[in-house]
Amino acid sequence: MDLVQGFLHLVTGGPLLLLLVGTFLGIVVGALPGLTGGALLALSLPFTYRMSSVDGVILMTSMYVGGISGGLITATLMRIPGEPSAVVTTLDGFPMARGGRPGRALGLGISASLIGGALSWVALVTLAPAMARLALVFGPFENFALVLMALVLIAALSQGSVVKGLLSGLFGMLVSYPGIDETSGQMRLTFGFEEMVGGFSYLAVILGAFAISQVLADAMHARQKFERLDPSVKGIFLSPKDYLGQAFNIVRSSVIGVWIGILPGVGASISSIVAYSVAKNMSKTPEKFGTGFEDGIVAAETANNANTGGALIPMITLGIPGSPAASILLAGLLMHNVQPGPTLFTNSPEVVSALMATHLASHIVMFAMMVAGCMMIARLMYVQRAYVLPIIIVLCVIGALAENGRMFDVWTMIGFGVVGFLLELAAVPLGPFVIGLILAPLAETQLRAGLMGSNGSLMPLVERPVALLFLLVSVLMFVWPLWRDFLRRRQTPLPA
Amino acid sequence: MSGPSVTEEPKSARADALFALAMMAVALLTMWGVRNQPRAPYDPVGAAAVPFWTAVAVLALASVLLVRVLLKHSTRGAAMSLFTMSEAVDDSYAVVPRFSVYAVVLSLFYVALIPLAGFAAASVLFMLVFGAALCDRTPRSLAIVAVVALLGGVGLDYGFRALLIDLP
Amino acid sequence: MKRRDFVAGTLAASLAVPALAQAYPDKPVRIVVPNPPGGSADYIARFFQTPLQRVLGQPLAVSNVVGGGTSIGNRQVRDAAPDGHTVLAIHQALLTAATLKVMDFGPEAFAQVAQVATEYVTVVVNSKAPYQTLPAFLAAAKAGDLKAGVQIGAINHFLFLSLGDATGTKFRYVNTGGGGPTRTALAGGHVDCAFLTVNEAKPLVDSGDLKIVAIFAPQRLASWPNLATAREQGTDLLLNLNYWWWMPKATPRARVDRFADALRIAMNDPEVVQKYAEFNMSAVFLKGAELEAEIARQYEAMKKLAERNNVTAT
Repeated sequence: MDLVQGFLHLVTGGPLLLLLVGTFLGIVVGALPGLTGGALLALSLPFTYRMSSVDGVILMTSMYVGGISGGLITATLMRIPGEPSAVVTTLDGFPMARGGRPGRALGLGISASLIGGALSWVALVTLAPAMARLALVFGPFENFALVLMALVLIAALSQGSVVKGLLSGLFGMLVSYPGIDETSGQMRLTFGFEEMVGGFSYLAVILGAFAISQVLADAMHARQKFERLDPSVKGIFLSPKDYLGQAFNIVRSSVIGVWIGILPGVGASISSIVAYSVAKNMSKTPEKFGTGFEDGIVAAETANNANTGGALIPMITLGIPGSPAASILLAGLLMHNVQPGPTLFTNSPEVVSALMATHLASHIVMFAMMVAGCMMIARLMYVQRAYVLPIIIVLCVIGALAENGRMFDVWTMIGFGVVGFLLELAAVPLGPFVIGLILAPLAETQLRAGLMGSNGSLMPLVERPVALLFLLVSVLMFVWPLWRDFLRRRQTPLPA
Repeated sequence: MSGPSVTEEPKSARADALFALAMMAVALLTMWGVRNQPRAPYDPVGAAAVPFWTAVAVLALASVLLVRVLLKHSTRGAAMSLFTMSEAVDDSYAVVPRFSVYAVVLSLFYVALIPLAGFAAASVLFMLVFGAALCDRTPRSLAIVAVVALLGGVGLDYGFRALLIDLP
Repeated sequence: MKRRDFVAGTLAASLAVPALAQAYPDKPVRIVVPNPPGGSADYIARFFQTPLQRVLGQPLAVSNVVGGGTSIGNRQVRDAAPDGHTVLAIHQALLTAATLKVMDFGPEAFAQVAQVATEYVTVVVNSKAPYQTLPAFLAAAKAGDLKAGVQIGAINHFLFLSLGDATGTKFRYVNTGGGGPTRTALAGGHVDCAFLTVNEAKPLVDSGDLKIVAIFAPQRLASWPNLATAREQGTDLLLNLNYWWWMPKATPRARVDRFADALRIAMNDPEVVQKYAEFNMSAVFLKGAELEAEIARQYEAMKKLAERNNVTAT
């Protein structure tokens, strides 16, 4: 794998343009409240399909990085987290901006994002090749257990109830089953419809659940108006002394971010919550957190960007995404017949080096764009949603048509948009749904391949130590919250 | 109509119950759909096994959720999640749930219209109506909506045809 | 403007083909590949994209219409307007999909345009395996059940069935999927053997993980001369992928021929020649009755093989 070549490729015409456009769109969409970076990635899927796999990876990775970073702008200036991962940033960013230092607050967030991302890049580049070698020993049973663990992990760590999170993940799995069964070649669950032979298009389902559902939900906030901001960005550049003072916080939050990123399925918002809590608990002045304290902004923004590098590690070495957004990136790779896994490094070295180079380069581009233009991006909030939302739906329809040119896919997309919207109304997290959708085929083919190899015996699941470990963790993560809840109930009688 | 503090809990409980029932329906549909799946010659479990057992898990979990609703256990907030965050609520403007209903209905009409009227015409019409429904109805906003709809609809149609994407 | 294009088109056409098809193509031609980008069926379509454009004087767009074991893309072309502006590019996967009845039609539902290439396949094992020659490998297969990584019902499965039929061996099939995931499973030691194209096997052979036992080609490859053929190891069997082009059934014969001749001209384009060499494909051109006979022969053989080995669906 030649990283230098990856970087050199990035500074040639087309790829450079993709890097700039991707990062910019990521930042803008990240900053916009209704739409998340995940929705942008979903929307870009059909278009990357027409590019080479390397170009697709460059565009999607830079959107991923931009999306995670852009959320801090609106979180800091307006207390509106543009991304779920920027929720924690509002706690200290907004009070500081309100207190007359918006430039300083943004500067801390932007610099922390850059450094967190860069440190996680180091982890990505050093850990991924080693992990790939290790992952080669993962057979069908290990992969199946790992997918199971990813599903339980994301359900347990999502907002709200574990049971609902798991149900959401299982629902995603059910949606993935109709169509031709990959293992036997049989048609399954088509209910006699010819259109269903290919099953639901992933792309259409993801577009619906991630983009359409958000537009539908966002429509009810069409009347939201934002107060005009003070456009001064004094203090956006930090001094070396600032960096030194935050050095320990930055390193700690990066490690937390990367580690949580590596955990399969768990996204950037958990990273920033954990890093923030740890920073607060270890602080000599915990009471200052939440009042516009610098450490709080730095911890949250370092960790959510550090999550990106971590989340890419299992995605490229195991084909198991480390976060819901990374699962859409994974879908993009699969559509190009690029098979993430232990042998990706030998089979498609150009994809690996493009991904790694873009991860770092887009952080640098992001830093430059945000420092130079964050106030302009914030001003986009004044645009009425009535002008923006219709265009997004039309773009989604084009996206669904771009894949196969079938109206059935468009109906699928709108249908799952409505379903996703209803699920959000019922406070059901959508992250597990997407993870379940993407991972179910993998889990099923791996399990059945394993069974074909073992003549139908499930024993290897508990005989092979790695598989057993993953199974135990899954059970623990499912039982623990229920058990804790049960204990709590025993202690405090219900206010009936 | 009682105040929000009173209606909040029953509302979320009702949503949970509906969600559980809907998931059960999907699970039962799946089980019914794979009932006649033949065994494959090289495969010890066959194509029906994994969907069937997933559906069983869905039925089990949905029952747990239903029981919790019936026992009035809260499924929201700190009770069951490892992490909870309270989200800041901005009450400086009116939330209009009606707009989301419009969005759903208009999107469905839009998709139905595409094969009949062609992509460009359907898109322009959709953007006009949807934009007008959402905007603040001042002449200036309506004018912008109209311009965005015309330029957007025709521009996107032309642009993507140039990329050789088959639009109806 | 129009007139000049017309003249240029006629000139190009008159160099090689009879004049009756000169009005075709009069708009961009869409090539449907029913496999995802990055597979060998997709490569072929993309090798020909620019050279064909030079011959036909119209742009070509490759679109990957994926899903349903190639049946979605196949069906889309079968149902397209039969004016020669929609073309399907796919190898024997169309026959396997029909044999397994994942689609309710077969090669007879298309106008068969041409074959442009043949790619011989190899049996690959883990480099740590004790059987590194074809006789040793076949002996091991007879002795104990070797796990073969295949996609059940797909071409890499049928290749094993053909090998088994010819040599009297049986394998235990593990569904590892297409070329990419299968070679990973092979490198990790989770299956014992697989059929891969030279192009698919090469990176992991170079890295020392895999070893090619034999290539089922008539003679050794010029680009890889120490790769032993099956024939010289005592098994006289040729196994290959054939890259075929198809059009909707009712497409006028003149247009089918015009496109087939354009393909033949494009095969001599230096760009295509170089790609063939790079991917170790052989230029084999067939059209008309010859092609139809070959496809019918392979389809019959495949159906018999499926019946004998109980590979059925639905």
